[in-house]
Amino acid sequence: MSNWSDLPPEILNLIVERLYYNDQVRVREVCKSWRSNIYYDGKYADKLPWIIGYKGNTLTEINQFYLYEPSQKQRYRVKTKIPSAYAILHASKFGWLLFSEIAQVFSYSRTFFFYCPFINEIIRLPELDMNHGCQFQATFSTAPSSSDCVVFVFNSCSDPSRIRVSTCSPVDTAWSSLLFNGDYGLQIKKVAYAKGVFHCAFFPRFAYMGAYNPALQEWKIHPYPSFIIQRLHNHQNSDLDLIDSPDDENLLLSYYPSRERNHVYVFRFDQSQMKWFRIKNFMSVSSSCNGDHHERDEIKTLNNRVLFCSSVKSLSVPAEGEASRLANNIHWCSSEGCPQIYEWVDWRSDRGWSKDWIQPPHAHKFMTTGGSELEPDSDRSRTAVAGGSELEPGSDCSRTAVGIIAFLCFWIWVGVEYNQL
Amino acid sequence: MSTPSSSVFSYRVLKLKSSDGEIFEVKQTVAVQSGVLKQMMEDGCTEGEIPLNNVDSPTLAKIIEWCNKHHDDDVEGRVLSQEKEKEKEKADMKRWESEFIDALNRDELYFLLIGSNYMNIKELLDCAAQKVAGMVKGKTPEAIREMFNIQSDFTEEEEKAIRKENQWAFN
Repeated sequence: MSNWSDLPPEILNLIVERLYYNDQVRVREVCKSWRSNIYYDGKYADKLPWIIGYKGNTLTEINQFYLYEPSQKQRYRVKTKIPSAYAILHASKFGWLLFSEIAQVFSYSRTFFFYCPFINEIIRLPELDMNHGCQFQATFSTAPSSSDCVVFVFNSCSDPSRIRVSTCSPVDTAWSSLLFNGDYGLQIKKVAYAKGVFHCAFFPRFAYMGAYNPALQEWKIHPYPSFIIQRLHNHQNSDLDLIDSPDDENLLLSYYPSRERNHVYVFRFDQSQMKWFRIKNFMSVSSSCNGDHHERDEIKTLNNRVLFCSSVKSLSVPAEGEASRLANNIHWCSSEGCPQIYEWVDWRSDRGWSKDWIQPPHAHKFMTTGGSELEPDSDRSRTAVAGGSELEPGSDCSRTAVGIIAFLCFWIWVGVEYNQL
Repeated sequence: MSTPSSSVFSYRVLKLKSSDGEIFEVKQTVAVQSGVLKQMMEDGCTEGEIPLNNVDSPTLAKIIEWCNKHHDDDVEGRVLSQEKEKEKEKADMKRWESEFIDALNRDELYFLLIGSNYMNIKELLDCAAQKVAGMVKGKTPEAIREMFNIQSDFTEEEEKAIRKENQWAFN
């Protein structure tokens, strides 16, 4: 007779990695042996990103999340309560959302925190002092559950000739901040991470991209592609975007000559050569943009990628599986959702909600340790109880002390009584 | 037709012994699809019967059927000059594979997974894993348990805790 619950782990995982993320979650609930044998190492069949929708009923709480799953066309509701005063979403990567909120009333410092709606888990970072009225953008390098995760915040200073970069890892107790000289016009547009370096796009009047290497604590600037520099005078109508590409670690830049985004020019930054390449196959074919053959930027192709962009976070993913039909396309997610490709969602009913791309979690280092022993279940209150019980030995001690004192008193009393006899 | 020298090689057979003692004769050129048997051939230790302790005779028969189908012993004889023809071959093979896998019952599928993993036949293992993934897709844990005859060994409390962890997926 077959015994499916004893399926060897290597076979079980071969099956599981062919499933969509939501099926993987359910498969882990079948039996203990499956639960402990599933690696949960970030391999899943999902090739299209999901969309996250969130809404706060009051200004002090985000209390509803929706997850729109494109493969099986389902909308899931996540019940949660994130107390947050004016929380802002900065980045969405590896299934984690990076938010920041005002730390205290009448203070300029902010608290950054990660939230993963898939596992309903929050990771808080220390407070960061900010300048009054400064502009800032934030992102992170790897999943916050991994040991090498770095959170990066770029902020402009009250002194316009300087900028400040701050970094912190989820295990740190404080941020480390550095000041650099340079007037970037207070116009930080977007930050993105590639190959150990955080890149900053400024717009509209500054002709350079900033790059901060946290390992070397080094700030550099690189000029934009000449194509863009030549058009900087027309900045009122144009828009640009930095795009993360987590799987191949390419850094992409897209430039839109008009706000309607009818036309787009995509560039890839080669970090080893410090050089931009124009990506031909993403270029729009419009008569008004055809006189560009004298451009100095070298042209290359970047095949089989799809760009999923939003004002918060843009990402480039391989055009595999269901995403293959979208190869070489750019899709935008706004508060209206993404009706072009997620046409099955009734976006009108969720109007007014904030929406952004989200990918299922990459690796579940937190979960596998917990999951196999059926322990943490992301229940913070349980942790609090465990913390409370740590106080117990102390009270035991005091009880013992009381006992000893009582014991001594008794014998002194006995002694006194005896002497009196 | 093959030349005499190559026919000596291609028709040399291996004797595979299933866990229940049945002997199966398989051409070397067919057996090479198994990573384990290929390694043994390279090491020159395929004399006599090769015991396959994890594979019973019905499963081994199925595995050999798969390997025979996927083995092109007359590939030199046929000239697949046309792309179209190649495409058709591919499609025919895909159809054969899905019919082969779909015809298996739950027990057969289980032992085929174990057997192909043990003998390291990647294509067959992938095909069987894909089949199981398709069966599991969109189902609740209860339905999966019922399908594979698995008893839940979680306590009520544990089950509740797990559901809380990924509450959204069970809405």
